[in-house]
Amino acid sequence: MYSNAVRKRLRSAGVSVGKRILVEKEGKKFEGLLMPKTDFSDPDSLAIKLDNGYNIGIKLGKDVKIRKSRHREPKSILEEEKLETGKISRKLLKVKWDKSKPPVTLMSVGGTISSRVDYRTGGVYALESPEEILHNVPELSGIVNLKMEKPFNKMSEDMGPDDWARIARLAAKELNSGSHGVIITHGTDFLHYTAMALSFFLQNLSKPVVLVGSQRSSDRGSSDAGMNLICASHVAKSDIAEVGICMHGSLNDDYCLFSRGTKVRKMHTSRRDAFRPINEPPLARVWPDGRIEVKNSNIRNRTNDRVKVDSKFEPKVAMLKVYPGADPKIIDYYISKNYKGFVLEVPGLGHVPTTVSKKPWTTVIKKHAKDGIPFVCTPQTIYGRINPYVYTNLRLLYLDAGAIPGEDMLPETAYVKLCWVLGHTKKPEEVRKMMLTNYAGEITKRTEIENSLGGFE
Amino acid sequence: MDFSKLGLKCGIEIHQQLDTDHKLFCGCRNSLSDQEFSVTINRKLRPVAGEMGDIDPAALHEKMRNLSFVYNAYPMETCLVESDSEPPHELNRDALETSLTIGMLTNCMIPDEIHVMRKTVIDGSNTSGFQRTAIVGLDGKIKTTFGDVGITNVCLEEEACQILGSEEGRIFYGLDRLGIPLVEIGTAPDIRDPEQAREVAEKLGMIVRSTERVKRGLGTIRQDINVSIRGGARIEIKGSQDLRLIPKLVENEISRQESLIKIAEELKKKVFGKAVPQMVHVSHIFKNAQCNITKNSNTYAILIPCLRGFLKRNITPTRTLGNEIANYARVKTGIKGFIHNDEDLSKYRLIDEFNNLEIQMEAKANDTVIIAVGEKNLVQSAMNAITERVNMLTGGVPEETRKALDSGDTEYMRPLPGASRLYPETDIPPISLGREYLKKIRSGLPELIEVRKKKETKEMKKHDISDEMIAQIVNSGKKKIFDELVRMGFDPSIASTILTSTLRSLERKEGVDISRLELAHFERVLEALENGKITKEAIPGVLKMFAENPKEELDKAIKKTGVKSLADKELVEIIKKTFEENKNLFGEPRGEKVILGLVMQKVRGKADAKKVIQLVGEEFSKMK
Repeated sequence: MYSNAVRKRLRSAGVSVGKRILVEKEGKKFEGLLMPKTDFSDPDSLAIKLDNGYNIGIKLGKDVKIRKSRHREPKSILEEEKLETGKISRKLLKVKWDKSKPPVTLMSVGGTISSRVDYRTGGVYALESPEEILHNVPELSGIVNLKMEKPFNKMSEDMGPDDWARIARLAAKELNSGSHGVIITHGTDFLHYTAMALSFFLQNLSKPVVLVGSQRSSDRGSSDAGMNLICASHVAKSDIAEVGICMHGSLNDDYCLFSRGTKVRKMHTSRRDAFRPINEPPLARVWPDGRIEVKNSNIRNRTNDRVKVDSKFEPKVAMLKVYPGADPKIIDYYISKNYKGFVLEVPGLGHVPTTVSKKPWTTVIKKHAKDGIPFVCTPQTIYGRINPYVYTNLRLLYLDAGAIPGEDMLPETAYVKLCWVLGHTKKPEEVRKMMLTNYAGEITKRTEIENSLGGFE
Repeated sequence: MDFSKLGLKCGIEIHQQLDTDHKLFCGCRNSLSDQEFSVTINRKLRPVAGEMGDIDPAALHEKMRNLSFVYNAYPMETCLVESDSEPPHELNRDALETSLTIGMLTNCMIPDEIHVMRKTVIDGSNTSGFQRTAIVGLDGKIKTTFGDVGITNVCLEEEACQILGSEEGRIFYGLDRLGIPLVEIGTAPDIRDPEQAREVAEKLGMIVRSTERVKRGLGTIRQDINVSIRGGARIEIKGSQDLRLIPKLVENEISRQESLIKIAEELKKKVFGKAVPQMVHVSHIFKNAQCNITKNSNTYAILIPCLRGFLKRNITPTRTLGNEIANYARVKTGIKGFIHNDEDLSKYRLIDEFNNLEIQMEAKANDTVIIAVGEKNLVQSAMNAITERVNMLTGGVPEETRKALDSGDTEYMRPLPGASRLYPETDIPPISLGREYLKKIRSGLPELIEVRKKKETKEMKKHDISDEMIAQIVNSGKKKIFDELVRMGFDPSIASTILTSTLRSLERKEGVDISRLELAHFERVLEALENGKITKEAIPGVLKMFAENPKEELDKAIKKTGVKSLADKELVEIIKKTFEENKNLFGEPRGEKVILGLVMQKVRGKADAKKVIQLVGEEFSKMK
């Protein structure tokens, strides 16, 4: 937004945003299109799009004269302006769907993959018609017959349990009414939480549910969205009846990994291959040409079973990271706020500060565990498995204080699972039993040897 | 020649890499790598809405789908930013300052806010699919002896990847060059004379070098020349490395455009309709020819009506229209060349064959017949390209990007690209410069090299040194060192000789890196000369030692070089010994001279020549 002073001068010069303006400064005259003001930039500087397409900012001081231009704006500039200001008139490649291909539902819930750049704020905003993401990926029509659903539009950092339930219900409805698979386009920041929640919510899953996002926005030629969508489509019509995330497997545009919803995590802020399978191989490698190489033996096959939704959920669960010097009284605080359970991210094989003079976590945990509050410990190291026996302090925590050793569950998976379990029962023994029962591949019996950490491919 | 009558319009665009300590949008080393690449990354680009312009989206999709890019990444010169795996970091402020300096030196208006833009590029030379670029100055001008030339704008942008090669469906790039800060200066089409074009290029080069913050060496500066004449078309000439070649490139382009316009006028009267690449297999005619080109190959022919005589016409002093069309077909299809009936067919020994060919093709007297050899599909696509270009002839000059050749000619590279689409780089908020900041840069603008040189030349006239030497000292930027040495009381003529011819021969003949020599080195050498520690002849050796070991002590350097001056006593010893060894020469005509020569050989660099002559003379008189 321009400052009041600037707006006043624009008005008195008879110039407005979207009009061609003549500027005189330092004895030099030039013309251009007056653009809307980018947020977080100097509100006293005019943003002007020159005829060569470049934007510049000119501070509207007393030394600067402005007036309406008598000339016409070049056509190409008007087109660029429309795009920049969201008055969309994009030349899109219309996709014609082939009815003979397997019907697949594409559910668009937001995120970078279904956004475009907002040149005003510099951020991205949701596409008014999410179909647009498909228009530039015409290959999709050769793979599946897509049907679009748009239940809501949110950036993933704004999503929560209610959204997960909505997605689960819609996915089940689609799968039970003829869809061969569901693709969900979604923001990437909290993408793995949704994947984890769907893994527990969707019971009796008989068809693929493929979550997909993009790390480079779709408005750039280098976007990963196209290949991710193509690979996701191949998975959606495959026989792999699992919930998972399908995104780039490496920095190359060569293949995607389809990784289990309970065993996948965003491990990088910006790389295309940020989503890595943790503690188990990916379910499959998928190439854009349709090849699918199954990499995991623990896979359900496609059936005709009806999918059910069980989204009972207790949101009052806290996830705490245990760090040196951390005060366990924080637990008392949460309890006072009526929290029903805790997932702790603990160091090493599963420790908490124990033999410290002031703040032994074990004492606090033991006190609340006795009252029936579950404490599930998960590896802060992300990779690896909790062990309750190796050291005395581990035994004190798990055998005496009563914490639940979360096996090789990811902290986020344990969090979503504990919410879901507590949605079903508050009985301590049942909670413990359910937390240690494998429902959706979240707990494995064995971890395969791989050459390097994160090297599962 | 009066170029204004031809309506010559010429503009120059220079691209200069900046010498910052890291790249424009990340912390990577700002240089090309001298190491092996560490990783390769394979990518594709997908056309996105907005950049399609008038191109058919389906066709563009198809083209991009079949094209992949292979990027070599290097340990120190590439990071996640170059690989398009991380957003750009903040704009390099040093680069910004240098570009603003250049904007001011070219009298541009500097915007108050810099908006970094994305210029769409889908040839893979940018991993992101766009090049980041910003205007830092506009509407400037520079003076030339032919009159003022406008500066349209000065941009700060990121270098693209360096192309390393290509094969069917794949292009190979080096990621190390991507992101090196680059300043682009574009002039208005105000240049009216080929010599002026050279002057402008030189002047712009001088201006950017005046900042002392630009890279030097091959490939760090590039010039593009835009040329058109009335009735012609805008031609962009890329890749002219040698400024001296610019006038010739422009003149040749003028002559090419004039010729093409004339050819168009003539053809318009003769030709109706378009040539068709209907190809005939004619190997049987050439089966027994004594020509290596057609021997053992499939030969195909096409007929082009009414073109007879045109292909052998010169369109520049050294190139014919035939060359032009062959070059077009070669770039488009990879065909090596073709033979046509306007050529001197005796050099191919194909006179009879062409006669038969013309009969078979039912060619009329004014028809052109062209043959090419090779695999059928290749030849067909070449024939398509040839007729495509022939059909463009009546239109005069097609807009093209052409490549500069060392001969001063140019050849077809690709059609002139349409204006690129530009969108804001949303990952980088607009940068507000602030009046204070601009004032600070303006008050510290560097002196232009040409101004400094003029001043220095004038100052140096007071010494008794040749104009040539003055020019050399000024051009090499050694004036300050010279002044200091003179101020210390050293002889100006010795100092200037060392700073010019001595250094030059060290650099050119012995490959010494003379940039490592500082004032102190010259001071110590001149001091040693004065004290008689070394002789004049020994100076190059000691300087070389210093250039290789800048921290070496003088005495050690002298010792290592082995050029310590001989004491008179030692000299006399050597002279006497030489006399002993060459007794037979005494009394011979010129004997004295030969012996002097022999002595000189032994003591070269260790004794002053005058001294040696004197002592030899003395010893001779003793002998007599």
